[in-house]
Amino acid sequence: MGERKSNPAFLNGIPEMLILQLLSRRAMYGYELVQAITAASREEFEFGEGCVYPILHRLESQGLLKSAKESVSGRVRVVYCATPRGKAQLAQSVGSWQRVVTAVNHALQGGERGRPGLA
Amino acid sequence: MDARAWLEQVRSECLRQKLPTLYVERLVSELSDHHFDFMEDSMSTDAKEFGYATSRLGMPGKIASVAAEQYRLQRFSSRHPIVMFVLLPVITLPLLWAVSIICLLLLAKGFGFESGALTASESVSKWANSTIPFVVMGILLAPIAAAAAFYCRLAIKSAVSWKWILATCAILALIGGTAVANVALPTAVSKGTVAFGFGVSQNPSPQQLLQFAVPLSIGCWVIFKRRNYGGRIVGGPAHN
Repeated sequence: MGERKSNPAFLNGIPEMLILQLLSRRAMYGYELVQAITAASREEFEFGEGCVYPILHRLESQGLLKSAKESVSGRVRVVYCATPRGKAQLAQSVGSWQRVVTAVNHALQGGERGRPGLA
Repeated sequence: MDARAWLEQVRSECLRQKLPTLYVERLVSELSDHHFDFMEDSMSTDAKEFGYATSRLGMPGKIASVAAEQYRLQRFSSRHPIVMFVLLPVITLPLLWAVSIICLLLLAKGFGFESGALTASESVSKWANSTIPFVVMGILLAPIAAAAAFYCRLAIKSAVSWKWILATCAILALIGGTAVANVALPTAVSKGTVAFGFGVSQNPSPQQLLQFAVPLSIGCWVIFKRRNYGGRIVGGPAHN
């Protein structure tokens, strides 16, 4: 069985943000969520799809997500959605992420006092 | 490797990581659903597709190590609900009562009710003696209500089953319902006394009944308010 390459960045805090972002829009079951991540990230992230479930369970135990069994397309599935606390956490994470991106871009473009950037 | 063998390998790798059985069963069940969804999506029963599907899910060892890492990041109360919702409430109430009684003694001292050195005026004594039964009732009831509210909130935050809310409130009700206290302020001729203990008689006092009912009411109210929360899936990330 060949192993899919995994992007380490996917396992360093980014999945939580992506998962919360997608589940704050609408409730999804695991497989649907993985498809949504792949589509939303334009297939930039390669990861073992099974690794999403432990993250979902942890976010649920922290009260950021909630789950329920629902019948979808004739099958009972575990559907997840973001809680109000999860949405608040998402807003905070997005703010931090955008600050980091701005700072890194600024640094890469040379910055005010820095040397000419990489670009 | 076919799907069943792959799932078995995930299960054994997770158990090797010493993850709780319920947690592992939930994970395996969701992975199985995921695999089924993929097969349904690709409309194939081809053996090659089985291999492709399991490779998309990841290596069993990798999934087990991510699961173990994520499990460790969960709240302590989610991982150890017996400690948090059964054992801790047993010691919480006596501790809160002890603190409340100490506060009462300090307050009484502040008002001049000190055995052997009584400085409180007659009017203050009269007022204090008339209010002391209510203060004692408050000292017994407030910690019970506070503890019930705290543990219910913690259970909700930890996303554990509603049964833990019921368990913790039942424990608080049993301990709270048996507590009795009596406080007598010092007078010019007698010393002040504080008596605290546990006991149940055939005819419990209305106050004891109230102490019993308050945490159960809080628990039931919380469960009722969050009845959707009770629809949590089987297993769950913690011991449910």
